[in-house]
Amino acid sequence: MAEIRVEALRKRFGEVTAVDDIDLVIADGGITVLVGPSGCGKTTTLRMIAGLEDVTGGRILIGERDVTSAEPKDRDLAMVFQNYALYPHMTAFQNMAFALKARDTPHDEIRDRVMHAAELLGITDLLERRPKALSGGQQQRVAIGRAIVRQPAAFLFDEPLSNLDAKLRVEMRTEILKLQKELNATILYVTHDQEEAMTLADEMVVMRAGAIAQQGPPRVVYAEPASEFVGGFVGSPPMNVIAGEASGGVFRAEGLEVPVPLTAAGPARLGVRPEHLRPSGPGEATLTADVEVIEFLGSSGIVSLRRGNGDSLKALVPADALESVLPGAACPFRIDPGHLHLFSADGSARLH
Amino acid sequence: MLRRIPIGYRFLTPLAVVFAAVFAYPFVYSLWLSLTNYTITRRNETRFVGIDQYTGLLDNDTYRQALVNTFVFVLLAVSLELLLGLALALCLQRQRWARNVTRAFLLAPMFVTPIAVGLMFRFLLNQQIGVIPEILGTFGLEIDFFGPDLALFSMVAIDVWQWTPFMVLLLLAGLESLPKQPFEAARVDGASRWLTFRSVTLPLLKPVIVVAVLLRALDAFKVFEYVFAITRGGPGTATETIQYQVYRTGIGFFRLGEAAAMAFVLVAVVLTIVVVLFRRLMREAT
Repeated sequence: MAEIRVEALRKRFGEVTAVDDIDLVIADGGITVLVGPSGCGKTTTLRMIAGLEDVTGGRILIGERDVTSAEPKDRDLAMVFQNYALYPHMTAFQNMAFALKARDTPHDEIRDRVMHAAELLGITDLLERRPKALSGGQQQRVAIGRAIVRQPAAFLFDEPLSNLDAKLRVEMRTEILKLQKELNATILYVTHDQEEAMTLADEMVVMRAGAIAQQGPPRVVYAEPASEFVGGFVGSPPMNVIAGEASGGVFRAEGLEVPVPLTAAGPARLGVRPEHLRPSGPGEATLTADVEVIEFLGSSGIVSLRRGNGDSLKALVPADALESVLPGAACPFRIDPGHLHLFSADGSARLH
Repeated sequence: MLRRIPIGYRFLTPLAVVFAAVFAYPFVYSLWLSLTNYTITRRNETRFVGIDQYTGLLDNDTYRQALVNTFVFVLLAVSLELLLGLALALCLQRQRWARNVTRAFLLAPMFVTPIAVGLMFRFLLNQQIGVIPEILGTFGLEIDFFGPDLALFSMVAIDVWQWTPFMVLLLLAGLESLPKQPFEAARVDGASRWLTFRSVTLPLLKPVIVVAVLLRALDAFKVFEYVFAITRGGPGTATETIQYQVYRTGIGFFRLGEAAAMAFVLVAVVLTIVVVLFRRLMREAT
């Protein structure tokens, strides 16, 4: 396995800049997840690293080797595609063996490596089947198997779970994590699903409009989002944002006052995660809002609120506290002062 | 009485009438003719002869020769058209500029009526006045394109000239509709161009190839215009194909019964080929 480094990487499609001078280090033996909304440049970045897309500017290094203009086959990377990209006319075994065959690996070794990968993935019974006779989950296992047998320098995963149903997605996520630990693999993983990114990543890279919005371990990105965009994108339901003004250690908005650090001053935006907005007694309330609907999730519920000025908020309330929340009624809520996020007026920078 | 037929079937009546008139009746009538010794000039002597016309064909040397000629023609022409068509389609797929102009030029031969193509090559390749033998003559090459040894192959070449574009059209459409991801997977997997072509492109393109070959083969079995315009089956019987022989027997010698039997034998052979090919295709698809 090897470290992948990307320096000032840029990609233009005509007048459109898809990836804008990004620097990135994909650590050896870890999972780095590129996450962001559609069109943010994450898949283009992955495809440039794979060699499937030409680079407009910058460098790509695998280990110490500059592979910026190398053919995909000379990069020693294996890729798992969104639609699996299995060869439809080949059996699962032939699909997994293809890359080895292309490298003139001896027959016995091909057999051993494919069987070993198939055992790891629990697909030994399926090896003689063609992709058409496999379920989505099984096809994805074969696609992962095809990557594993290569024993490459690093793995590239391009939204590999997005075609699977929700339950299978969670199962496969766990399997990918286990597999990564077992093989100590270097993985660059692209997804638009922030939950998938949070659960898989050692290092999370949030992208927006071709640039990196924030990079760091998921806990840090979640706890200290660098901008309003990251705060809103990472976490579900998304972070609530209230526009107001900070001065003298207090953030003020219509019907709301919250203590903030003294250093903040001027127009600002307050970010509050739904789980830090809780029903409270009238005495300790930070704000009052009308309860619109409650979406019950089992251990908790998502409460949709509307404030007097028309702003809508969401609160994630534990099931036992839901009894005090009645749809249609105005309820007092408290913002946890220990978990506040204060952003600049345009949302681009974190003030606290 | 019409009222007793369900309404759905009543709607079908016009089609059924047309179908019966233009297909069923001629088909059954020609099948009947093939079992008689019907000759236009001796209609009064027509009698039922059973399968005599068919068994007679087995001993008919010129018919056997025409069958061989037709098969050689179809096999060579379609194989060459497939090879050339595939090569051209692969090139055109990679072409980056002037794509539409190239494609329009390349497809042009298809739009010329075959009888005109036949006449054109009759003059182009003529040993006395043709421009091609003259050019070859300046290099010291004396070639008689319509001599006994070469005539059939010249017909093949003319067919290839006219119908390779059709192959290109079908194969190019097939190539351009193939999914991209298996090819990207092959690039990442490290497959060489040749391995990708052999192991990914060809198998994925196979259904299109089978259909293209089938369409071309069925059309090539009907070869008539080139023979009619250029050689009239000669020299000797070197270029006599089934279609031309059927024409000569039926329209030239008025022996319609025998001509019908000849045609039905060809239909049986062609149908067998089509069924076998389609069965294989279906089996592989499942």
